[in-house]
Amino acid sequence: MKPYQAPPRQEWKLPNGLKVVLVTDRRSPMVTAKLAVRAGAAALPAEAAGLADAMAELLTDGTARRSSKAVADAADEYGGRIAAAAGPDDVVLESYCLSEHAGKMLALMSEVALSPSFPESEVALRRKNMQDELNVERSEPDFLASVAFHKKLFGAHPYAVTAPTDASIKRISRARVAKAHRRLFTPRSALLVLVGDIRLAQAKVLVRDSFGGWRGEPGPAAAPAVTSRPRVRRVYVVDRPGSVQASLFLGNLAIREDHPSYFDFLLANQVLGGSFSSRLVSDIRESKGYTYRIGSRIDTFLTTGVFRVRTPVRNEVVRPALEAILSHLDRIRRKQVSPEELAQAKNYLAGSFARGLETQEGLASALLHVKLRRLPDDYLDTFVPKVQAVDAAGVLRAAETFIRPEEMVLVAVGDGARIRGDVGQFSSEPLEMADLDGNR
Amino acid sequence: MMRGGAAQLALALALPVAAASSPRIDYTDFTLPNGLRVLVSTDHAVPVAAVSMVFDAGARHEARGRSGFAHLFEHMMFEGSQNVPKGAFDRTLESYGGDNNASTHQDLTFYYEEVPSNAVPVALWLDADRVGALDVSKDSVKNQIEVVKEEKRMRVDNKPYGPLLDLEMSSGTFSNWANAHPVIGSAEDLDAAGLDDVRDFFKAYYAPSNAIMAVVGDVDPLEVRRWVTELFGPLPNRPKPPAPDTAEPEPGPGRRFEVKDGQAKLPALALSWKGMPARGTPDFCALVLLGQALFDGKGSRLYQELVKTAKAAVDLSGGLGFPVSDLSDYKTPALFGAFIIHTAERKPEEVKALALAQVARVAAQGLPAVELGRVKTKFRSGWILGQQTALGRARKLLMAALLDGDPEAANGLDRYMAVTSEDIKRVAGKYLKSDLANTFVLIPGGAQ
Repeated sequence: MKPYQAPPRQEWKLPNGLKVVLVTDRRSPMVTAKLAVRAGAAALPAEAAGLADAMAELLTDGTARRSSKAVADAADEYGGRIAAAAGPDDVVLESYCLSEHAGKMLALMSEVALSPSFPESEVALRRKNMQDELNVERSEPDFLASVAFHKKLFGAHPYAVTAPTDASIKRISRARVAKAHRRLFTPRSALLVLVGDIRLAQAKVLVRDSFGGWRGEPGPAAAPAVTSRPRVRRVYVVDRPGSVQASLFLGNLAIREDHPSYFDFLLANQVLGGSFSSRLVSDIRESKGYTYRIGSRIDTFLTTGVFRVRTPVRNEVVRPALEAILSHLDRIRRKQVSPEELAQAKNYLAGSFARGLETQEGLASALLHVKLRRLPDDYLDTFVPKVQAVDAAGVLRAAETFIRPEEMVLVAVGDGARIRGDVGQFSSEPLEMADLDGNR
Repeated sequence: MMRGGAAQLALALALPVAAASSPRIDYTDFTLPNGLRVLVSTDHAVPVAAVSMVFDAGARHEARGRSGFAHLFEHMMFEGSQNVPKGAFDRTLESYGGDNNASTHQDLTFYYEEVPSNAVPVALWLDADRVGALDVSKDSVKNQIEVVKEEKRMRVDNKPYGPLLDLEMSSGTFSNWANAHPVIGSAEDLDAAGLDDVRDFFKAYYAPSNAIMAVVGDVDPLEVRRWVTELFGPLPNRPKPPAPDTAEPEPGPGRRFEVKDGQAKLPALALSWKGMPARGTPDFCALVLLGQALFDGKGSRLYQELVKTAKAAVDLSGGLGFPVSDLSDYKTPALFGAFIIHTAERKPEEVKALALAQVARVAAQGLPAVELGRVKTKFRSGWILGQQTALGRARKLLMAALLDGDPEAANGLDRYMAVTSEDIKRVAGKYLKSDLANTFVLIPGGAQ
C-alpha cells in the first residue's frame, strides 16, 4: 500500500482568537467550510436538553438582514448548503459551495453565526416541530435504545442527555436561545476549517473580512471528566409493543483517542466488530443468520470514550444472540488475536482511513476533529504508522482492560412482554424498564 | 479530478475551472469478445481505485413467486466461488486494505470494491472468480435467506413509514407485477428459494454480455485492460437474456389507499403519479429539476408552504422516481412521488390540497428565472459532489452506460442546464395532474 500523505495545511490565527486551518485542494471546483465553537450541549444545564440543537438549527432561520427563506435561497444560489448542528462538546456550522461563491458563503456563515436574529415566529415553529420530530424519532427503535443507553451509562454527567424531552422542549424560548448563543459562540474558542478550491492569500482576505470583527468573551469550560461508572451489568428494556425485532445496545465507558493504548484498543474493536469479516458479523450474521446488521465501535467524547455493540435481532433469537455476543467479548479479552486477523484489521483500517479523506467533506471533518479533540497536530500523518505498530499482546491487554462485559449497560428496545424474560437473564440485578426518555 | 493523464493534469491545475460546467469524467471503453464491456477512468490524485460492476438484472427480472430473489442473489455473490470459500471474499479484500458492498435495484444490481490502487488486481481476481464460477452451498442459501429476512424486518416491517414507502407506494401505483412488487420481496417467496434458483439466475443473468465493468482511480488503462482480458477473457460467452415485460397501462384516475402503521407516531400522506418520461429526455430533465424545486431543502416550494407557512408538516421529501429510484438508477416505467409527515391536527385532505396547489401553481406559471437559476446551480454542485470519489465516478459511468446506453451521459450536465421555465411549466401540467394523483393516507398506530 502506498503510504498516505496528509495534504499540506496552512494554519493561522486572527487577533480575536479564531483559529483557521486551510487545505487547498483544487481537484473539485468547490469549497467546504466548517466553523466550530468548543462548547455544546454539555455546557448548558441538563433541564435545557435540546436547547443547543434548537439554537444551532435556528442560526440559519433569520439574521438582521435575511429571513430563513433568504438564507436558504442564498445557499442554493451559491450551489451549496449551510446548516449547523450541536454535539455534546461543540457546535459546528458547516457549508459547501461552488468555489466561485466562496467569499459570499463565508460572509453568509459569518452573518448567521455572529448575528442571528432568532425571530419569535421561527423559535415558536422550531419548538412545535421539535416536539413532532421527537415523536417521529421515538418511533425508531435505534433512537430509543441510544437515548436509554446514554442515560444509564452516564448517570448524572451531562453526556447522559442525548435528546430533548417533552418538558425541556416547552422551556425553549427566544430569550433562552439567544442566551445560549451568546454563551457558546465566541471567537476565543472557535475554529474554522476550509478545504477546497481556494488559495491561501484569498482565504486570508476572505476570513479576515468575514470574521475579523467578531468579538466575544472566553467560552464556557469543557465538560467535566466522567468520574463514576456502572460497577455491575444491568439490563434495561424500553417497551415498544408490536416490535418484530429487539434492538440491542450494550457497552461500557472506555478511552479516548489520546490514550496511549488507543490504537491497541482500536484494533481489538476492529477484529471484534469493525468490518464485514469481523468476528461478530462472521458469526452472528453470516453463520447464525440472527441479524442483518451488527457491529462494535468506539465513540469518543471530549472527556471520555465509549465501547459499544449494537444489533437488531428478531424476537425469537434475543437470548442466543446475546449469549453469542458475550462469548465473543469474552474471547477477545482472553485469547490473543491471530496474526492473520491482526494484519487484515490493520490493512483494513489503513485503507478506510485513506478513503475517508478522499472527499473535501471527509478531509474537513477529520481536520476539525483533530482540533476539537485537541489531538496532536500530526495525528492524521501518524495514524497509519500507529495502526501498523500494534501487536497482538497489546490488543489483548487493551481488550481485557477496556471491554468490560461485567459492568456493561445493556438496553433492549422491543416488545417488552416477549423479550423481557430473555434479556433479564443477562444480569444478576433485577431487570428495569426504561421510558421513552430513558428514565425509569 | 476527472482527467485523462499526467500531461493533462498539469495543464488543468494551471487553468481556472470553467465557471458554468463541471469537470469531465474521461474514460476509455472496450468490450471483450465474450461481451463484457469495460470502462476505465484514470485519476492519480489519491492512491485509491474503485472496481465496480453492474448487471442488467434487478427486481423487475424476477419470476412470480420469487420476489426478492435478485437481492438474495446479490447476497449469494459474497458466499463463495470456485477458489474463494465462504468468508474469504471479505477477508481477502480487507487484508489488502479494501472494502466492498453491493446494492440491488429495480433494474440492476451494482457491486463495488474500493481498494488502495496496488490492490486493483486482487479485486479483479476476486470478481472474476465469482462471475466465472459461483459456488455456494445449500446452507449458505438458508443462512442468507435469514439475513435478508432480518434486513426486511429492520428496513421495512419494524421501521415507521417503511411499509408505506417500500411496499404500498409501488403496489398502489403500478399494475404490472414486475413494477409493483418490492425489491426486498416477501418472506414467503424468500423462504421458497433454493439452490436451483441460485444456479438458474446465475446462468441467465450473470453472463459477461449482461454486465458492464468500471475501473476508476489511480490506475493505468493499459494495465487494467491486460488484467481484465486475462481474468475475464476466458469466461464463456452466453446470450444476453431477454428484457422483462414491464409494460404499464396508461395512468387512470388517481386511487386512494389507507395504510395503517403500528409503529408511526405521526400521520403521513403520500402522493404518486405514474406515466413518467424516459430517462434522458428533455421532459425527464425538467421533472428532475421540478422535483428539486418542490422538495429539496429549506428554500423549496413545499417546505416553505407546508412547514413554514401553513405549519402543517414536519418533514417531506419527493421527486422524480421517489421513493423507488433516484436520478442515478431511474428507468421507466417510473413514478413521481411525494411523502409528507404532517401534524395530527391537520387532515390528510387538507395537506394534499396544499401540496397540489403548489404543483398547480408551477403548472400555471413555471418558475421565475431567479428561482430556476438557484435550482440549476444547486443541481450542478450536487452533480460535482457525486463525482468527488473514484466510486462516485465509477457509479456514474456504469449507470450511464447501462441505463442511458452511453457512458458519455455521465458528462451530460448540459441537458439539465438547458431546461427552461417553459419546460418546467409544461411537465408540471403534463405529468402531475391533480386528478391522476394516487393518494396514500397513513394512519399512525404508535401514539403513546
